[in-house]
Amino acid sequence: MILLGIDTATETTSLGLCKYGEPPATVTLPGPKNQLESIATMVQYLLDSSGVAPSQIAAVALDVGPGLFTGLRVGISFAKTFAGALGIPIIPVSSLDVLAFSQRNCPRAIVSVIDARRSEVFYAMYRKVPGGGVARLTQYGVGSPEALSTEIESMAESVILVGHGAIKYKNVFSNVLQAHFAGAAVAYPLIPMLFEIAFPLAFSEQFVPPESVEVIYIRDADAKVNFEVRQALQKDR
Amino acid sequence: MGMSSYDVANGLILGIETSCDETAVAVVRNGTTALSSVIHSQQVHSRFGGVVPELAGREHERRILTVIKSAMADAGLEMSKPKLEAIAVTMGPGLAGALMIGVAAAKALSLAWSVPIVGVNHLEGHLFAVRLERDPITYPVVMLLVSGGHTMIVFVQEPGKYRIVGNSLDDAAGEAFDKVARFLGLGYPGGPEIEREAEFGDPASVRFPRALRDGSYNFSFSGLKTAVVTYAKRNPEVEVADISASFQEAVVDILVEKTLNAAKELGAASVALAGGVGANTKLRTVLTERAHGLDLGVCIPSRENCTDNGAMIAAAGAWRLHNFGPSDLSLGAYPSLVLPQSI
Amino acid sequence: MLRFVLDNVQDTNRLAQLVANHLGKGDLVILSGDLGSGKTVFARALLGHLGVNEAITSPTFVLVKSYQGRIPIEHVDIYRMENPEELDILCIGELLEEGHIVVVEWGEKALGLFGSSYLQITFERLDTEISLEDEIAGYAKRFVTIEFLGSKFKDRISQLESEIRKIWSVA
Repeated sequence: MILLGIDTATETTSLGLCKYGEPPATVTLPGPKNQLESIATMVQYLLDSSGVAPSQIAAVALDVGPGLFTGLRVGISFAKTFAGALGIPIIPVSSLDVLAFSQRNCPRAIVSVIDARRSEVFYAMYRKVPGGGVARLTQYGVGSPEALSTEIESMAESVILVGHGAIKYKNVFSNVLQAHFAGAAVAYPLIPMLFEIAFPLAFSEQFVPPESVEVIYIRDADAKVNFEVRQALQKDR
Repeated sequence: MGMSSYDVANGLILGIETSCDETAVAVVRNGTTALSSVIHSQQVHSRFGGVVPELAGREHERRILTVIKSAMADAGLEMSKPKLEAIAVTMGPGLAGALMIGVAAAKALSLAWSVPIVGVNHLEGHLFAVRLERDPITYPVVMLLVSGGHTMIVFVQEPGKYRIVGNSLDDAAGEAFDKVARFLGLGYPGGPEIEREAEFGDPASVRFPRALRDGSYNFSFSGLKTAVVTYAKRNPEVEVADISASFQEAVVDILVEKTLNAAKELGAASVALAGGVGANTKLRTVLTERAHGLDLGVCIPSRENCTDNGAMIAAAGAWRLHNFGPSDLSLGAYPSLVLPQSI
Repeated sequence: MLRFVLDNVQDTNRLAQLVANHLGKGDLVILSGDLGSGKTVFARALLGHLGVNEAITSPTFVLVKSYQGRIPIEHVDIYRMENPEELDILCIGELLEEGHIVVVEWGEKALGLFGSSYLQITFERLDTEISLEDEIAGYAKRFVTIEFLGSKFKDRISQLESEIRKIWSVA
């Protein structure tokens, strides 16, 4: 079984092609710019250099967020249409899950943190489970690093924070007792982790038709008034 | 991917348009015959009173594959390995986050189906809408391109050879409709609302000024908008219907007069209409009547082909492809693209 | 607060140039005033002085228009927004955070939502009869009022004020 992996959820563009049981071919470009310009040429490169035809791909493993909206949608729009044209399904995986998976052997509680702009972060908490892998303990959330620190503190246990968001707000999270930080090498979702999560799902046919793929925005499309805004409004009156 | 690798004889091009608030895809044969044209108009913007870029991006992403599939099915084509000559896609101008969805989708189709892509300028697309009508148009043509974002008069020597001879110096015509509609307490979008209200009003009740009689083909709708607002404030007893009719009369009069002046002075054989405001009945009727009076050919595309659509992108894409070859797979989105002027 | 009279479009343009010289990354400018009071004319001049070369149209139809000047600039118009509480969806906060200059027309509809730091410029027409030709030629007079919120503008405003006082008589 061959999977195409696509991740444009954060500031990197990462693509990979992997035949089950073999090492994946991957390409990653840093920086949020040029995701649209490079995505197709990168896929073309992977196909050509691996000698794989599009028709041999069984499914697309896709990072569906949360992350930076515009770039995220470039990858998702490409993946959906690519899968739709080939008549293959998509295995949607959250960016936070991919980050946590890189710490699956860590005995501490795992907190994935992605920069959400506006001085906020996207986050979720995990714990390693027997047999390899992690289980998510919370819903995907968004909030200030300070609020997340308080939440972590209330867990009253040793945690490891993983993701670029954790590094960006390291000064905030460092105040939390028993907080450890995963390194910069795993700060962005890694395609091999995406494949590790996706293959078991593919074998058990836990995939969806491309039209049904939903982006994980967390921040509401219907523009919910957030707390600070409401406060400001009340001050105005 | 060279020019030789595609099947020219087949002549089928899929056109994708996502520059603003329409997710539109069509299949066109030989650049002239639409086999299908699916347009999904986003409704999410109405309560905001204008297009919200982030919501436009979300809606395009949500719909793009479904709209592509519908357009393929309507044209009688299979999604698995269809025989297409190329995928044409709007690369700009427009909203960055909206354009990106279409371009990313076009690239995905290109890789999956091994067909080339061709990036199309949205404004050039509008100019190619006339080629989708049954009767061939006689060049040179003076085209009036009026939409929410653009108001321009373009002299088209022949396809690909353009000169912008007139432009709006401030608001686009569609914006003037929107702003005046809002001021009069009418809904959004303003164009159709004013048109509906105007049916019950007397277009001669107020003589609004016809701006910029300076011999140029440029427009200024900001001044007209101010005149309407000032008049309505000072004369609260005047019916909204009468103001709407008189305002519409003034806009149509300005647009048609400048277009016909340009056509006469530049020696055009015909005039044509393009863009969303081109759906306005009054504008269609007056332009047709007055152009006939001057012995000019007239092409008024169907309303569907005036608004943003995939067929016009496929039509322009066919021409681009045959004259300049396909675009590179590293094609981007260019929000501020301008119409290439070559004469 | 500074309040003075702009005699014509050349005055508007001059003011726009002075203001543009003092703007930098992540600044928010709110333009207030009635329909036809001169916000868009000012905005267009301001964007021009910020290095935007392309044609600048009003952002009424598309609520946020992006331009590339010496830094990225967003021109926003919330005239038609029914519920300014929903402003969040325009992502103005993100754009400011990315260092863009954001210019919002009709921002007074939602002043409380813009956070703690902005420059506000308000336009009012002097109620004089004027022909449309003169209107278009830019001879309408208007009052302009300049205010700001937040310490980041404080020094810059006193600098701007002394420049303005050299040209106009300020109330």
